[in-house]
Amino acid sequence: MQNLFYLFVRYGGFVSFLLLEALCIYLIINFNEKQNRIFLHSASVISGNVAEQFDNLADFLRLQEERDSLAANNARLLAMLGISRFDIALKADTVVNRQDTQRYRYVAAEVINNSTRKSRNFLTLSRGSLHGIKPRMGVIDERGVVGIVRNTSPHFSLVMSVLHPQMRISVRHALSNHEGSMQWEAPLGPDQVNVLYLPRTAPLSSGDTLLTSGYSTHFPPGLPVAVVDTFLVKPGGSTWEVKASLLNDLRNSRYVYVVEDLLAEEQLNLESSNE
Amino acid sequence: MSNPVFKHLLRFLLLLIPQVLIFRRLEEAGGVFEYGSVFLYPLFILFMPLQLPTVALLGIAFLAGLSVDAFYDSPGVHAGALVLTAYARPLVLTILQPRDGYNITHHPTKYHLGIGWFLGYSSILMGVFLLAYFSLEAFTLVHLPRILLHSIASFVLSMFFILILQYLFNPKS
Repeated sequence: MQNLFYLFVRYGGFVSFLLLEALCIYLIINFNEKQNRIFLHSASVISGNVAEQFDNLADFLRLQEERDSLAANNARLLAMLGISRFDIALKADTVVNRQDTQRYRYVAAEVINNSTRKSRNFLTLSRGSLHGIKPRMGVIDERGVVGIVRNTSPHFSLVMSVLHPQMRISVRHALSNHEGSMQWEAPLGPDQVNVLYLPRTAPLSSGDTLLTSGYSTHFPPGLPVAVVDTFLVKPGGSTWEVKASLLNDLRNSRYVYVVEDLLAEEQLNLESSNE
Repeated sequence: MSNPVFKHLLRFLLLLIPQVLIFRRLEEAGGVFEYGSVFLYPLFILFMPLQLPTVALLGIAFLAGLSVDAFYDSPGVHAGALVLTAYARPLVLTILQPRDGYNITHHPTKYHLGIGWFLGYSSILMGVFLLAYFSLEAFTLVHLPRILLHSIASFVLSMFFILILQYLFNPKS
């Protein structure tokens, strides 16, 4: 004990200095009106700042949740749009009561793997058969068309990108309603596509919008997909050879919506009965 | 007068009385005293024996500062500044150490160590004390120019009186 005391006397200088200064500052803050006011003000400024920083951090950590709920909300709103409904009115002359049923539903998904520089490009999505995704469903994002689901596993799905030479997407010239086929081939850039089979009678001009036609069961009709860049007719040909640029950029797409066509089976069954 | 404790206590009282009766009121006198005042009582810590342990010096400084605060009605301000001065004293003594060291029986005064040494010793510690005092008094760095102005004015005034005291009394210990 005595040794401890001597030790303190010899080396306790810094500790006792800190203790005494802390005591002094405590006295200053508690028994001096002016210093007390300054202290309380600074403390409130600092604690306010700390609270704000903490709030920002909490907001940031909630972003993931926020983003998922926004995407789900978007999918729900997309399903409410006119293009997602299907007119089932029985009397052709009835316009007063709009009768329609849900045709398209959307599942929000995140792109977790993506290629755009190969000659055959695919994407992987973070939603699979457990979430109701099946092969042949279309995939869109807010600005255009992404691809078509090729395969699913319980938690993931593999999407054949628009940038794949086997993709044929039926598009419509917005002004003339003529239909063509949008295709992509290896030397084209990730934002370039060819549009074939538009008849040369269609009055094209560069900058015209191309929409999804809705002829397939992959995409709802009327989604803007691409704009016309250049177009020409080969000698003796009857259709335009159009070069167009995609409205969306597949290189940075992260959040997409998988389109579920509720009437697809019915339509495909009927169409195959013909063959 | 042979008991050193009694001697230092008496010296403290002799420094305290003019401090609280005269120098404390100088601010009201206006003129140069609006910018600073005379602080003599830190001399009490400056004159403490060389072999006194730092812990004891800090305790004494704290109590001395508190008793000055009692008159200034500013609990902790003088005490905080004086404790810092007391903590700085061993460091300053090390820096100013003469080539052959201190004689353990000597005291840090002009009588023993000469006017040049004492001038350096007292100005460093008074500078520390005054900066600490006016910082704690303002308690914010917003008024830093004011803190510096008051410290410099008080430094000049205080050093003037400290040197006069040295020449008047020339204390051995």
